[in-house]
Amino acid sequence: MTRLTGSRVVGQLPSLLGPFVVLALAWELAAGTIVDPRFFPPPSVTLPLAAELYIEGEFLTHALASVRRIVLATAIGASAGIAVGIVAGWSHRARLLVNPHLAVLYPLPKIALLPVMFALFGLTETVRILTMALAVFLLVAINTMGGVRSIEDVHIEAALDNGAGTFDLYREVILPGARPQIFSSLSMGFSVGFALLVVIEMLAAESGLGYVIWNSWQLFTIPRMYVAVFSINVLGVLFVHGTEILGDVLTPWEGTYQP
Amino acid sequence: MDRFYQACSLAIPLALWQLAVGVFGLVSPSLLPPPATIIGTTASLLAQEGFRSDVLVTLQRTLAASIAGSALGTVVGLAMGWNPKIKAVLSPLAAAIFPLPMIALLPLVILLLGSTETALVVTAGLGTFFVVLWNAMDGASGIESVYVDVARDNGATSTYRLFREVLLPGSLPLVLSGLRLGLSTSLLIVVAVELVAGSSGLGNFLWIAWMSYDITALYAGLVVSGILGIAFTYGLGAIERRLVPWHADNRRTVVL
Repeated sequence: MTRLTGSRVVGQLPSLLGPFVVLALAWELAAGTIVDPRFFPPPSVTLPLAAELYIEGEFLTHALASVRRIVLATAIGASAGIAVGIVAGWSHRARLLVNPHLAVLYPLPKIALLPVMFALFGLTETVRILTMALAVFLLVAINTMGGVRSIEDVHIEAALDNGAGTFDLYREVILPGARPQIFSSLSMGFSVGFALLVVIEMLAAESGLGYVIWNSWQLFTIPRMYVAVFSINVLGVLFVHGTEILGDVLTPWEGTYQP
Repeated sequence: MDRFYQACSLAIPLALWQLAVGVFGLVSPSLLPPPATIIGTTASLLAQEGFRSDVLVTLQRTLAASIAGSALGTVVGLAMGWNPKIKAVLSPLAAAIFPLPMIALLPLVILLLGSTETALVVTAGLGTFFVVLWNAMDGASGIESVYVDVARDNGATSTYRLFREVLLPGSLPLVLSGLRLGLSTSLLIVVAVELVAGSSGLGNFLWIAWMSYDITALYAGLVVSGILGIAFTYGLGAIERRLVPWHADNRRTVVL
C-alpha cells in the first residue's frame, strides 16, 4: 500500500492533475459544439466569474457561512461521538445502554430528521448546526466504539503490567488504538455533513453555498450555480481528504490511504 | 441476558416517554406525541392508499437508483482496482468528485433532463455510483495477488477457472457491501431530493407535513423512513453473513 503524505503528494502532482487538465480542455472545446454552453458553461466563463464573484465579497460571505456550519457541527458531533464511543467501547455496561440506541438511529436516513427538527425547534442557526452535528455524532460514536473494541487485550494488559494508570491507559493505548477508526469516521462525517449542509441551505437558510445554488436555479444564472457547486466541491475535497491525510499522518502504522 | 438489558435500554425510555406525555402530560402532546400515538398514526397512515403510494414511489426510486448506481460503480471500481492504468486516469477524478454531495447537482440535472422525475433518480444514481465505486476500488486492490499465484500453481490456468475460483469469491463480499452501501446512500439522496424538489414520495410527504405543521405525521414519516433504512442495512447485512461467511468482520459501511 502506498502512502500519500507530504513529499509524495508533490511528486505525484503531475499525474494527479493531468486528468483534470484534459477534462477542462475537453470541456472548453466541447462547449458550443457538442454540448450546450448554456448548461455547460466552459471553464473560460466560470473561472473568471468565480474570481469576480469572490472578489466582490458576497460569495465569500456565503462560503464562510457554509464553512462555519460544517466546522461547528463536526466539532460538536465528533467530540461528543468520541467521548461516547470510548466509554461505550470500554465499558460493557455502558455499551448495553448506548448500543441499542445507536443501532436504531444509525441506519436512519438523516435527512428525514431535518423537517422534524425544524418543526419542533424552529428555523434557527443552532438547529441547523445541531442536526448536522447529530449525524456526525452517530457515525463517530459507532466507529469509535468499534475502534476501542478492536484493541487487543494484550496491549491493555501490557500497559497495566507496566504500571499505567487510567489516564495513561487512555492516552497511550485506547486513544491511539481507536485513532484509525476515529479518523475514517470523521471523514465520513464530513461527507454526510456536507450532504446535510446543502439540503439545509437549499431548504431552510438565506446564506451559504447551498442557498446560492438554489437561488441561482430560481434566477436561471447557471454559471453562478457552477461556481457555487465547484466551491462546495473544493471545500468537500479539503475537509474529507484532508481528514484522511491527517489521520494517515497521525497513524503511521496503518498507512492505507490511497489517492 | 445482554439482549434483555439492551431491550430494556430501548424500552424503558419509551415507557417513560409514554408516561410523561400520555399519562402525566408533562410535555404538550402536540409537540412531542407519545410513542403509542406515533405508532397509531403510522399504522393508520399505512392503511391509506395515498401514503402507501408515497412509500412505494420512494422504494421504487431507491431501488432503481441503487441498482443502476451500484452495478456501474462496482464494475468501474473493480476495473480500477485490477488495472493500474485505468486507476491512474480515473482515481484522481473520482477522488475529486466523491466529496461533492450530489444533491448540489440536482438543479443542474433537472435543467438538463427537463423532467424532475427522471432527475431525482439520476441524481441518486450518481451519488450511489461514486460511493460504491470508491468502495469497490478499495476492496479490489485488497485481493492479494498471492491467491491468484497459488491458484495458478495448483492448475487453475484458464481465465474462467481463475475468475470462478479466485476473483468471484474474492470480490463477492465487496459487491455485497457495495450493494448495501448503495441502497442506504440511494435512500438518503432520494428522500433528500424528494424533500427539495419532489411532488411525491416520502420526502415530499415530510415536506407537506412540515409545511402544514403536522407533527404526528412528521414523526410517522420519520418512523417509516427509519424502518426502510434499518431493513436495508440489517437485511443486506444478514444476506452478506450467509453468502460470504469467511468475510467475518464485515466492515461497517457508511450509512449516510
